[in-house]
Amino acid sequence: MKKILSISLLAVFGLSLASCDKFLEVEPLDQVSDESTIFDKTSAETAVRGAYRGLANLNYSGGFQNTILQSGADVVSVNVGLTDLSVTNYNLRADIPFLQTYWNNNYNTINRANHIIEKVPLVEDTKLTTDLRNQLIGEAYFIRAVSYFDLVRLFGGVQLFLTPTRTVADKIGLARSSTQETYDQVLADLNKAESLLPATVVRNRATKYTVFALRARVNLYLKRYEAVESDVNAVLANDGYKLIKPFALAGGTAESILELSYTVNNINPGFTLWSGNRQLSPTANLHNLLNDPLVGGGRKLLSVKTGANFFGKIFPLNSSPNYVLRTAELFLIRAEARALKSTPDLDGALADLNKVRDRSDLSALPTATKDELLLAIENERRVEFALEPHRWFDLVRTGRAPAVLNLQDSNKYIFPIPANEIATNPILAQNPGY
Amino acid sequence: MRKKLLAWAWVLTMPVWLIAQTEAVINATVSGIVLDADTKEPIVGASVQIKGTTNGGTTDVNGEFFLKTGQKLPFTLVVGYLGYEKKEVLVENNTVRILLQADQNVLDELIVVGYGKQDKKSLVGTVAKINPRDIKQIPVASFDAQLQGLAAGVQINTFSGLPGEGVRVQVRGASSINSSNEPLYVIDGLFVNNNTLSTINLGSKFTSPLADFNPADIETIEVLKDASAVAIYGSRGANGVILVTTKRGSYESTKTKYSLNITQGWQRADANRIWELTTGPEHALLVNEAYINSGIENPNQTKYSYDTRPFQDNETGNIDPFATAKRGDPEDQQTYDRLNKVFRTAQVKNVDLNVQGGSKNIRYYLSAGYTKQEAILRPADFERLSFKFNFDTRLSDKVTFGSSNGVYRSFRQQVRGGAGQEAGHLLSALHHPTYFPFTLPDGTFSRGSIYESIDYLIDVNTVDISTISTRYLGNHFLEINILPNLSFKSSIGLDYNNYNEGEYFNDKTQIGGVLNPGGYKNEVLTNFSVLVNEQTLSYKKSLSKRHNFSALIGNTLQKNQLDVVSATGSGFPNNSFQQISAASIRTSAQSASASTLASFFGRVNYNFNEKYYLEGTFRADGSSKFGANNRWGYFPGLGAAWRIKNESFLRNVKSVSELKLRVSAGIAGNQNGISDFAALGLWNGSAAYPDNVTGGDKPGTAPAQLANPDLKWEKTTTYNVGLDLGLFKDRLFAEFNAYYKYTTDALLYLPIPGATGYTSVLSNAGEVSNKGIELTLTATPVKTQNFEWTTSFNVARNINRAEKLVSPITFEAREYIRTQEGAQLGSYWLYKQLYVDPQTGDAVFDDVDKDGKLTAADRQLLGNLIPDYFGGITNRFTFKGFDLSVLLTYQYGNEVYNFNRFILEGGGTRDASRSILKSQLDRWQKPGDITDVPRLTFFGNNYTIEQNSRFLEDASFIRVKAVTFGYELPRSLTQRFKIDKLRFYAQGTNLWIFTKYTGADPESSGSALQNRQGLDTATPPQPVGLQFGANITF
Repeated sequence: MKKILSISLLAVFGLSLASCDKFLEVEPLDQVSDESTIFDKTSAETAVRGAYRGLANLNYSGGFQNTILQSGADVVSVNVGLTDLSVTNYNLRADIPFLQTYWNNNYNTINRANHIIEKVPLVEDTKLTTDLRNQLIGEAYFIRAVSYFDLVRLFGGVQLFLTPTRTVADKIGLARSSTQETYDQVLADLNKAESLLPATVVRNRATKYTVFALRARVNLYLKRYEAVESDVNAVLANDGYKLIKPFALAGGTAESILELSYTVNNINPGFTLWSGNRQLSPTANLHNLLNDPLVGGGRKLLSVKTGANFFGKIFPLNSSPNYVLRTAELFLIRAEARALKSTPDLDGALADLNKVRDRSDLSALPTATKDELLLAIENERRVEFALEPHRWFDLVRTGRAPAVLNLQDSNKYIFPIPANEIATNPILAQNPGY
Repeated sequence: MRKKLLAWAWVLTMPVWLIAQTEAVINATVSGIVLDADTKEPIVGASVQIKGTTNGGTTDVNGEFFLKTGQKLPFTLVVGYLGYEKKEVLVENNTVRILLQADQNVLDELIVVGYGKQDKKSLVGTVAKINPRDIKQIPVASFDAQLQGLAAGVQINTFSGLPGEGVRVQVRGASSINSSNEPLYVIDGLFVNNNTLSTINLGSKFTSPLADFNPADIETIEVLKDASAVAIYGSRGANGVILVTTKRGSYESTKTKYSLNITQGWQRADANRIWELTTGPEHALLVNEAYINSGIENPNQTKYSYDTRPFQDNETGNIDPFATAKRGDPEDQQTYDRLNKVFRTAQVKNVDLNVQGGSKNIRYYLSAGYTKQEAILRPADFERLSFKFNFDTRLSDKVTFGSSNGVYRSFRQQVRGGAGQEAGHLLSALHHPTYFPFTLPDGTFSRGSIYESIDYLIDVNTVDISTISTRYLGNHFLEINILPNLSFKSSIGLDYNNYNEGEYFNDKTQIGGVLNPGGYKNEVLTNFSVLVNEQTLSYKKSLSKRHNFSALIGNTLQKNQLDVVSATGSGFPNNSFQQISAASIRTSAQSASASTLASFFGRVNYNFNEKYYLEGTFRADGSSKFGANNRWGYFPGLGAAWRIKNESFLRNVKSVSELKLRVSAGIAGNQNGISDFAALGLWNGSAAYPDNVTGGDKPGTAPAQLANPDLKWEKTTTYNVGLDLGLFKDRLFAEFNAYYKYTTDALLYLPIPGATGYTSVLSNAGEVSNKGIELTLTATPVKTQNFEWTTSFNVARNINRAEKLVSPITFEAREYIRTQEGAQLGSYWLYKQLYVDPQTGDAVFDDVDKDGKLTAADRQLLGNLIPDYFGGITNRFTFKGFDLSVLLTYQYGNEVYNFNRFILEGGGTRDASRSILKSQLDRWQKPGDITDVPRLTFFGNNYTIEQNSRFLEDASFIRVKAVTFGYELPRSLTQRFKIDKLRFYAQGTNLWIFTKYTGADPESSGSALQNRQGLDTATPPQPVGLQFGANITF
C-alpha cells in the first residue's frame, strides 16, 4: 500500500515535471512576435499601412497641432491648459512632456519605415511584383522623409537612424547630425522615393506627385527656389490636382495632394481639438480676417461665431481627413519661390497668388513690389491655412517672427531637445538657450 | 485576582455539586456547556475528557458537548482548549456548565502560515495575526481597507471615498519600481486575483477585486512578512503574503448556530475639510487682476491688459458669463455651488446571516450577505450579494474531503473621481468656475471648458457608468492520512471573475453629443480565471520527546487566463435606445492574455526540546512570462529561533512569560504586475490604414514592444531579526523586528531614448533596498472581574533607497515623481519655490545650477510619498456587557502634491477654465506684502511652473479611524427568548483627523497607479460615518 502510494506520488510529480516545459509555453494571440512580421506580400503591405497609421496618429497628433497652432498666435487655447502659457509666452523648458511625445512619435514612425526599408527588399514571394515592392519601399522612404522633416523643423538637427531598432544599444552613442545633414537625409529619402513610386494619383498615400509636392516645400525651407518651381510644375501639370472653387474642405477632392485618413476606429486626433472639449479656438483677430469679405472670402466657413465664442471648423467628423499637402499650398509655394529666386518672376508669383485668392472669391491683387508681394503671400497663407499648422513654421523660416510674434530670441525658433532623451542618451547636446 | 476568579467559578458551579451529591447514577450521560469565564462566550472545539479514560469529545459551535459513559457519577472531566488554562471539574450531575479561564499565554494561539498552521511559540517566521474583531469596525467594501493600523509594517491607504475602489497595501516598503508592490493574497489556500479588471475610464482609479469578498466570512487574517515565512511562496512572496481563512463549522456540534448581523449607517464628507472656493465676484476680481498686472508688466503685447480684462461691462449692460470677453463687472457675478450638488449624505446598509454546524463526520458553514453602500459622491454606489458555503466531510477515518465556495455579485454605480476631463464627476463640480451658471439662457444645462455639466453627471439616466462583477472562488481538497504521521493533500481551485462594464452617455452630454454624436455606449466584458492545482505531502515525527521534526513537500500548477471583448456604439436613433445593436456606428475589440506558473516547494522544521528551532524552506517557480533561458527561479529561506524562556535559567522566572529570539534569511521573487508577454518582441495588429480615400481601413501592423529574451525574476533577499518578549503572564507582550531587504534584478520599464522608436523596455535593471524596524506592543493594563482594558500599539519605520538605476525614471505626464539612484522610490521632482519677493511679488525659485535661468536642470527631489513612520493604536474597554474600542491610525513624514491647489491656485491665469480656491486671495498685491502666493500674472514663472514645490504639502496625520461602542444584553435575559447572544452597537468612522494637509484628505490620490500615488486630484475624501447595528446569535 505504502509502496504503491509513494510510486503514484512520484509519478504525479514526475509527470508534472515532464510536462512543465510545455505548460510554460504561452504565446500571445492578439500580437505577433518580432520574427514573423514582414515575410510575404500581405505582411509587407500591412507593415506599410502601419507606417501610415503612425504618420496619421503619431506625427500629426492633436498635441503637435495644438502647439504649432498656438505658437503661430492666431489660435488660442480655450482652457488655458497647464502648458499653454509656456507655449504662448515662448518659454518652453526641456522637461515639458509634449516635447518628448513629438520626439518619440516621429521616431516611432521612422522605426516602422526602417523595418520596411530593410525587410521588404528581402521578401521572397512571387505575388509581390517588382512594381508593388518598389511602391512599398518608396512609401517607406517618403514616410521617413516626412518624419525627419518634422523633426528638423521642430528641434533642429537630430540623430539619423536608417535601420530598425533591434536592441537599445543600436541607438545609443550616436550624436545629433547638423540641421543641414538632416535636411540632406530628407532630400535623399525623397529622391529615393521618387525613383521607386508610381506616377499615379492616390490622395492618402504617397506617389511620385506627393514626393514632388513635399520636396517643393522642403526646398522652399532651404531657399532652393529653382528646385521648388520644377517640382510644383510637375504636380500641377497633372490634371488630378487643381484648386476647387468655391473654397471647401479638401478631403477626397482634386485639391488634396496628401491627406491622412481616419475612421471611427482610428479617429482623427485633431477632431477633439476643435470639438468636444473645444481646446482650441480661433482668436477674434483671425475670425475677423476669415470673415472679412476682402480677406477671407470663401474661407469664412473655417471660423464660426456662436454666442460670444469662435469655433474652428476644420474637422467636421472624427473620421475627417487631415491635410498635409494641398494644391493651394503648391501655388503659394511657387509664388514665393518665383518672387524670391535669383531672377524674380513677380508676374508669375502674382498670378499664382491670385489663383488662390480667386478661388475664395477675392479680387485679384494689382502688380506690386517684391516685398509687397511677399507680405501678401504671407497674409494669404495666414488665412488659407488658418487652422493648419503652418504659420509658426512660416514666420520662423521667413525671419518674420520678431516682427509678427514679437519674438526676438532666435534660440526659441526651435524647441529644446526633451530632457529625458538627454538623460537616457547623454551624448545628445541641448539646443542653445534651454 | 486569579484566586478571586477561581472562587467565583467555584461559587457558580457550587449548585451543580450540591445537587449531584444527592443522587449517583450508573451509566451516566453527561452534557454541558463550556464558556469563557470572562466573556461567557461559548468555547467552540474545547476538548472534554473523562479523567483516567479515553472517553471524550469536543464542544460544538455553541460550546456544548454530550458524552455517554459507563462511569459512575461523580467523576472528573478534564476540559481544555488552546489559549485557556486546563481545568479539572468534578461532575456529580449529568448537566454541567464549565467556565474556562483564558490562559493569558497567547503563545498557544494557532497561526496560519503557508501550507499549514503553527502555534505562536514555535513560530520562526514573522507573521502578524489580525484579530477579526478589529477589522469589522470599518464599513468599507473590501477587507484590505479595514486592515489600516492593525499590523506593524503593513501600510494601507484608501485613495478615495468611493466604496470598492483600489487601496494601497504595502508590506515593509516598496521593493519594486515597476513591477507590483502588492502582496500576494491567498484565501483558503487559493491564490486570488487582486489586480483590477477595470478597463473603462474611472479617472485613473481602479476597482478592487478584493471588494467582491464579504469580510463577514473571515475567521482570521495573517500577514507573512519575513523570508522564513514567505519563501514558501517563492516568486510571489517578496511583497509579503496575506493569508485569509474563512469560517468553517465544527464536527460533533449538538446545535446549529445561527447568527445575524444588521447594520445601518450614514456617511458624509467632513464639512470642515471640503475645499473652499472663491465666490463669483472674487473669481472675477482675481482674473481681472491677472490681466491688469500682465498689461503693466508687458505693454508690448495686447492680449492681457486692463482693456482686455474679461470681467467688465459689455454693450448690453447685462452680465454674460458665457462670453470670452466682457462678461460684466466682477461685483455683478453670481456664485453657483456645484460641490453641494455632487456631495450627499450617503446610506450604508449591511445584513449578514450565517449558519454554522456539523455532525460526527460533517461540518459546514453557510452564509449569505448583502451590502449596499452609497458613496458620498453622487451617484456612485456599491452593492454586493455574497454566498459562502464551506463544507468538510470525513469520508473515512483516513480520508477527508473539504470544499470552500464563495459566489459573489458586486454591482457598482461608478463615477470618474480623480483625473480626467469630459466626465470627471468631482472635477466638474470642484474645478468648474463658481461664476459659471448651472444653465444656459435657453434653460439647458451648461458646461464650461473641459467639464461636463454636473447636472448631467449626477443623473444616471444621462450618464450611466456601471459594472457588475460576478465571481466564484472555490477550493476543493482531498486529504489522506496515509500514516499517523504522514498525510497527502491534493487540491484544485478556481477563481473565476466575469466583469461586465458599461458606460453610457446620452446625446446631451459632451461624450455622447459632441465627441460621439447621437449618444455613446461602451460595453466591456472581461473574463478572468485563475486555475490552481496543488499537491502536498506532510510528515511529522517526534523522537524521544526532544527532537521534533516536520516536513512538507508539494507542487503547484497555475494558469491565469484573461479574455476581454468590448464594443462601442454611437449614433443612436434617440435616447431610448441604449443597446449597441441600435447604434449606427459600431466598433469592437478583443484581446486575450494568459500566463502559467509551475512550482515545487518544500519545508523542513526541527526543534530541540522546544528551545531551538530551525526552519528551512525552498521553492522553485517556472513562469511563462520569462524567456526560456531564465524561466525557472529558485527561492530558499532559512529561519532559526531560540526560545530563551525554556532555558533553565529563565524557566522559573515568573515575571518573564516569554522570551524568544528569531533570525531568518531568504530570497523571494516577484513577477506580479508585469505583462504576460513582457519578454517578447511584439508587433501590434491594430495599425490599420486605407489603401485609397474610399477604401476604408485595411489591416496594418506596427512594432509595439522591444524584445528582452534575458528577462528574469526580480529577487529580494531578506534578513530579519525578531524578539518576542512576554511579561507577567503575557499581560504585556512585545514583538520587535528589524529587517533588511535587498532587491536585485528589479523588473522595470527602463526608459530608453525615444529615438529607438520605443519609450521603454522591461529590464532587470535596478536594485532597491528597504530596511526597517517594527514594534508591536499589546498590554492589558487593567483586568478585573467587570472591567478590562486592553491596548495595542504598533509602529513601523521603513527606509527605502534605489541603490542602482541606469537612468532616472519619471512618472506621471508632468513627471512629478521620479525614482533615481541613491534616492527613495517615489520622490517628488520639483522646482523649489524659495519665497515670494516682497518688493516685486515674483516667486523666486532655487536656481540649482546657478545659470540665472530656470531650466529642467533646476528640478530637485523634494519630499516623498512614502511615510517615515506609520502604524496604529487600538484601545478596548469592556465593562460588564459594555464594550468600547477606539482605533487610531497614523502616518508621519510623507508628502502629497496638492494637485487641486496647483490647478485652482493658478493666479487667475486659468480664467474661465478652472475655479479658484479661497487661498488664492492671499496673493501678493503691493510691495511689502509677505506671502508665498505670488503676484497674479500670465508672464514669467509665477504661474507657469507646473512642478512648483509650493503645492507639496506635509501629509502626516493621526486619524480616529474607528470607534465602536457596544452593549451585550445579559445572557440570562436573552436565553428566555432562546437567544444566545444579542449585542447592539454603534460605530463611528473617520471621526476626526489631525493633519497639516490643506486638501480634503491626506490619503487621497488622484491615481491608483503605483508610482503615481501621492498626487491629490479631484478625489472624494474618505467619509465620516456613523452606523448602528445589532448582532444576534441563536
